Amino acid sequence: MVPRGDRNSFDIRHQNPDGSQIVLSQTTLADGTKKVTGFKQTVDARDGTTTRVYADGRRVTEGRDFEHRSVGSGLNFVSRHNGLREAVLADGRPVFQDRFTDGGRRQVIERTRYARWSHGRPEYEPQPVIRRYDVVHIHGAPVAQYRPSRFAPDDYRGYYTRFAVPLVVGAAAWVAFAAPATTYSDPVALMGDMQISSGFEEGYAYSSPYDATLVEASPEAEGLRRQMATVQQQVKASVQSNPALKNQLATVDVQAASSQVQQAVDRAVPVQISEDIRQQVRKQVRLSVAMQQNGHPLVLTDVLASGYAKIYLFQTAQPLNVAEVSTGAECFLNTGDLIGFSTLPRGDSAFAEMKVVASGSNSCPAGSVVQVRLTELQEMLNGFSERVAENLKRVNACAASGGC
Amino acid sequence: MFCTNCGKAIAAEVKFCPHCGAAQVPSAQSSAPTPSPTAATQSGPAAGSSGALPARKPVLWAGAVALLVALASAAGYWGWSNKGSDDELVRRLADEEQRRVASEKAAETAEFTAAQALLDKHIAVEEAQAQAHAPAAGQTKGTTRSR
Repeated sequence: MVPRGDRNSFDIRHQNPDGSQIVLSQTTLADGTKKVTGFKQTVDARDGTTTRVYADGRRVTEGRDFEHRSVGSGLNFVSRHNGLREAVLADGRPVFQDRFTDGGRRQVIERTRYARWSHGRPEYEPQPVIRRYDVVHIHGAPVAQYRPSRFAPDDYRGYYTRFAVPLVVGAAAWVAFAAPATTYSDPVALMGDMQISSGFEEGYAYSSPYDATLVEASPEAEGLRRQMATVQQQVKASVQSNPALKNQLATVDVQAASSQVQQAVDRAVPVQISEDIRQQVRKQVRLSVAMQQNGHPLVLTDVLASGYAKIYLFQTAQPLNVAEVSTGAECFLNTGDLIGFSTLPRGDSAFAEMKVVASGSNSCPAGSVVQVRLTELQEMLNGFSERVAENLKRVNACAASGGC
Repeated sequence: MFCTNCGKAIAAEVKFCPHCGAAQVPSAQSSAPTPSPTAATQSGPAAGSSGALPARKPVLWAGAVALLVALASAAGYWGWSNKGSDDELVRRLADEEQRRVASEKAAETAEFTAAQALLDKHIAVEEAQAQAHAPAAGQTKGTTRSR
């Protein structure tokens, strides 16, 4: 048992006979509720992998040259250390896949996207969508940098023209804006709100069971939750009989392990979005649209050197497991979560300390400061630009049909 | 006791005067200057007196009493003045903290405003460039908007 020194959080480490380890982390949140996360860690020395299976069924495998994360719906994200990424459904079908391609003097990654998420489930494109990325290096690590494709001028027409008749937009269950709007006359306002809500929609959809597959109900996850509950009972009993330990720890919550499951989209707690966040994202969308029109890529080093990095918001593109700076506790950033720099990264650091600005209920709580790899921040910028491009098409379609 | 250098009242056990920083040599304690002018004037003639022993005794007693009175008043003054300076120190520290917080907040606001201005400028530059390309690319007339 390892207290973290603040009487609010601690880890319980339990060694299993088979060599695997169960780690339970309990944290008391600001509102007094106790949050317990737990995972079973197995190290395979032969292939050099460390696998963590979480109580909610998520799975993270770190290998010598890759990281593999699976989320609630069984969707798997793979990031390779050479810069290539892919996402695969639980049944093995690809969602997107990267490959190196001939870029002349430049190294280029071609990402083929086969499916996109719509209404909580994957929908396969009639024709795969191909995007090209330049390979850049951040502290020696190769990372894809989205090269925006210039759209035809007509694609921007809807964006630059106020809607003749205000568009009626259905309320998004996963986002609660401080000042909600149901009709939009300004396409920029719609694009900004759509950028935020579509991100969280996708994040919740990844956690949601779109078919029979739901990782939190897997026998492995259920077995782990049972074992966690047993370990918690044992620890609670030993804490009661040990005043010194009792003094160091908060109350052990034996119920928390079973309550730690991912929330799907139909039971989503709406993410509160303040007006400040909304306005900031709106500005970033404007910048992104103009940059795409000009063929300018959105580059992390440019953002860091811009003078406005401190206020810039990054939208999580793919699920990440990260460490909280203050406690060292692990938490997840899911697609759509918004983060900003807590402190700007030093020149020699491959990580940045990021403050969570708005996050879903399965994610690191808003206000927490977490460490994020700079290569992931570039991936977030790529995702932001790509989402803007997607939403530009959606807004045009909405304008044509009179509603969204 | 009193400082051998500045003469201010100091605690007996200190090695350095908290007011002027002078080292306090133990032997110097006996030769510390007497702050009370009354005591000095009264002990002066006594020290300089060459009269018979019975004549010196009342003078010595008077000197000792005067010295005690002087010491007591100096100690009282030291205590009073120290209390005053403690209160003042607390007030000053609180003021300084308030000023520091206010200045940090002002700096943060200024930093935020400056960052917003830089972002706005970048947006304006990119949008102007995009608009410059737009007519040639056949974008709709009158689509430029001020935001």
